[in-house]
Amino acid sequence: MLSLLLGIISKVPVIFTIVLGTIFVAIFFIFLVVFFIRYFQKLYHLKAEREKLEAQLANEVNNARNEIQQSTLNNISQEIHDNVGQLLSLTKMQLNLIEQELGNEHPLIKEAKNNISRAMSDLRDLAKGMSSERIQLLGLYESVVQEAVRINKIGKINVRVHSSGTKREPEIQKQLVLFRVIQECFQNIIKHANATEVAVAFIYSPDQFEISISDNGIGFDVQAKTLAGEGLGLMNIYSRVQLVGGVVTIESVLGEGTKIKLRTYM
Amino acid sequence: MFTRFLFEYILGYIDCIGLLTPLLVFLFLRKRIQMAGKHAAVLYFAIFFVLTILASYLSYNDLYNNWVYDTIPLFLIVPIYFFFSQIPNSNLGKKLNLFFLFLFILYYFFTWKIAIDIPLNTEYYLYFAIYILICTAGYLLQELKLMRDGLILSRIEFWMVASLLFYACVCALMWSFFGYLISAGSEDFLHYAYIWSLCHNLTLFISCSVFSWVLFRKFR
Repeated sequence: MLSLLLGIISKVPVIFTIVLGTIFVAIFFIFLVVFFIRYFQKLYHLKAEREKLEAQLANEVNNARNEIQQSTLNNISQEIHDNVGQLLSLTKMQLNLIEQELGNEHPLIKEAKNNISRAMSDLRDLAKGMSSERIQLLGLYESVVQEAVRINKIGKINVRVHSSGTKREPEIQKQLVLFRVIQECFQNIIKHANATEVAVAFIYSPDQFEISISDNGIGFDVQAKTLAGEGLGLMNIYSRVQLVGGVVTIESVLGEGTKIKLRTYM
Repeated sequence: MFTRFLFEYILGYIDCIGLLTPLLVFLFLRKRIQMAGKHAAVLYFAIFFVLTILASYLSYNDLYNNWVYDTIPLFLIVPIYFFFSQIPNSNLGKKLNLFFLFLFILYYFFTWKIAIDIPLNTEYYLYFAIYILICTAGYLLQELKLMRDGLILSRIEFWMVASLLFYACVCALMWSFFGYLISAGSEDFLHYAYIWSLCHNLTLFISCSVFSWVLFRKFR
């Protein structure tokens, strides 16, 4: 048996082994090329999938953060209305009783009553600004108008709100996020811009709408602020608008003012 | 004079230099190197180095050394089997590796008597290369299935496989062609055997030095 096998092996022509080897190596190289193509395709898909998951996670984190913030603001608003507001009303009533007991109008009591009325009015406005109920009831445009009225009361800045196109409101979550962004913009203008005039424009078009907030303040270097990572408020604006599928553009000229455009789809 | 020196001493021993390089890298960076199948890889280079030195020594003393070259694939296939069984592979792949190892050893056992009468049994190198091709295919398929983190090119075992594959494939085709020319009656080719030997040495040097360089860069 062994000698037979040895005989067969020794008679196998060398050319046969060469052809066999060459075919084998050629097949393997084809396999190698196919492997690398498949490998990089799979890698690309995995990378895309991972990026998608990361974006989803970031969105969920942002959503949760907004929900927590909204709930906190609602709680504070409720607290102002139910507790501080009631206490101030009670104090005002007590002052009225003192005034009745004294029988004449005391100038100090009158001033205290006026101060309490102003505090109550300011707190009511503040509570309204914090609460999401107002947006749900009035819609985004009217809520911004009311916010403008509240800021105008302070007297330092004159805020004008106007719209163009057929008025339509986006879904409630979008409205809430955009309202907070507009509030953030107002806060920035009051704190840093040193502006006297602010114009808010709502521009409606069939599939999207744009909110433009421009002021005549001192302006700032947008690129430098963004690169330095200083503007936490700016980062908030970007991330929030991104959350509702929108785009933010900020144009600012030193000494001339700033224009912020929020563009989103309906 | 210089050409003779270049051929006989530099290029003639370049295979030994090539095999020594990964061994030195393994020695100097032994604590840092983390690689699947590390010991099997060291064993592969060590066995190869010792056998190559032995073949060179016999050749230098004008002694018959073809039996050394005939046994190289047999001695190398064992650490190669252990290396491929330690890097990612499916259970079926591991069983196939073992089966082909068994076949290879069996083939050696049956053909050894014929082989020692032939100047160089090139078929051993061809089947050795085919064995490496089969193992590599199993490894690559498993990598494709697992899709581990990071690029495959950043894994050191991939470079070890590439080094093995490059040497085995080039040598298998080269030696087979050489064997064919002799069997076809072109005995004159035997007089130019040093050219083939040179090509072999260069192939081995390239495969070893590329692997050593990657190993050194990754773990230095």
